Amino acid sequence: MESYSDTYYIKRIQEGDTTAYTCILDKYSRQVYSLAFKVVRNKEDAEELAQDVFLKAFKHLNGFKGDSSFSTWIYRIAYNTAISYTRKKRQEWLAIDEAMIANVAEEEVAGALEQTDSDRQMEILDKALAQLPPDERALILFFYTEGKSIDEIASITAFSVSNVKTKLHRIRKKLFVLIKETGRIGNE
Amino acid sequence: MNKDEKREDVLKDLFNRAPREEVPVDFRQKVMQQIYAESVRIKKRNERIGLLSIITASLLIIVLAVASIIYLGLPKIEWASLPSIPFYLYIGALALLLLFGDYKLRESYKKKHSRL
Repeated sequence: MESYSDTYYIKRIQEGDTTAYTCILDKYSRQVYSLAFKVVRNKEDAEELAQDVFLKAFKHLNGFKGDSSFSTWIYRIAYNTAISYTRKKRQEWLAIDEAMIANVAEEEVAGALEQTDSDRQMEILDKALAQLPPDERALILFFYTEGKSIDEIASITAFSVSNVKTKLHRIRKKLFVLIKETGRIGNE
Repeated sequence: MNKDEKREDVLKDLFNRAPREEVPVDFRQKVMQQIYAESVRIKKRNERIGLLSIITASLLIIVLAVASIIYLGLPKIEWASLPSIPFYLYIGALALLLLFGDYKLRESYKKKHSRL
């Protein structure tokens, strides 16, 4: 099947061809659902959130002026929807000692991970991610899983580029501490 | 490779190997149902807005016409001085009848084709 650009489908939808939205849905549903699931960590909530994201995108499609790519635009909706959802839950997150973040030895973490098998590594990563606050989890996922650049993350989250850099650096360090701690607890 | 690159690679490798969640099977169908419902709602809202604009514009024209007659002192229409008024009424009624017929025919055409 021939695939067209997002702009082509958006134009068709704006002209009244609602069916063209299935192409947008097929292209982005996995990314949006995956992001929602990783942020809320619940299948039912993630599905509801992802549906909400696509409905919001459809309602505001006329407001999409093409200043950024459609991918960035829909990720922005997904990020804002997921973050406001988690804020309503008012869950408390683990505070990590600043000294631990500053002194974490990445090589040690990497070395420890190398001694475990792949399934265990995935389990450790999942548990470590679960302990990060949703906004930090979303940022690190944009960077690693979705392969977004710093500029794109800044555009999605409305943070400045330097703020994104600082946040990512800090989240990476936090993740190393959490991986180290999770791995240690699992081995004991 | 410096320390930063190595550090990044550890996480990058981990995230690359992490499994991605599969979208529920009926997700596409559920979303499209909502989209079609929303599309119908938007169309109806636009129709209402259109109708409201026409009514507003018509009322404005009537108000302007009345204001013109009252304030500009335009000559009043004397019905008695129009001997051909039954003819005009006949033409007007005919036009309305044709419009009504056209509306009914369009309605039945739409119904017939939406069923197919």
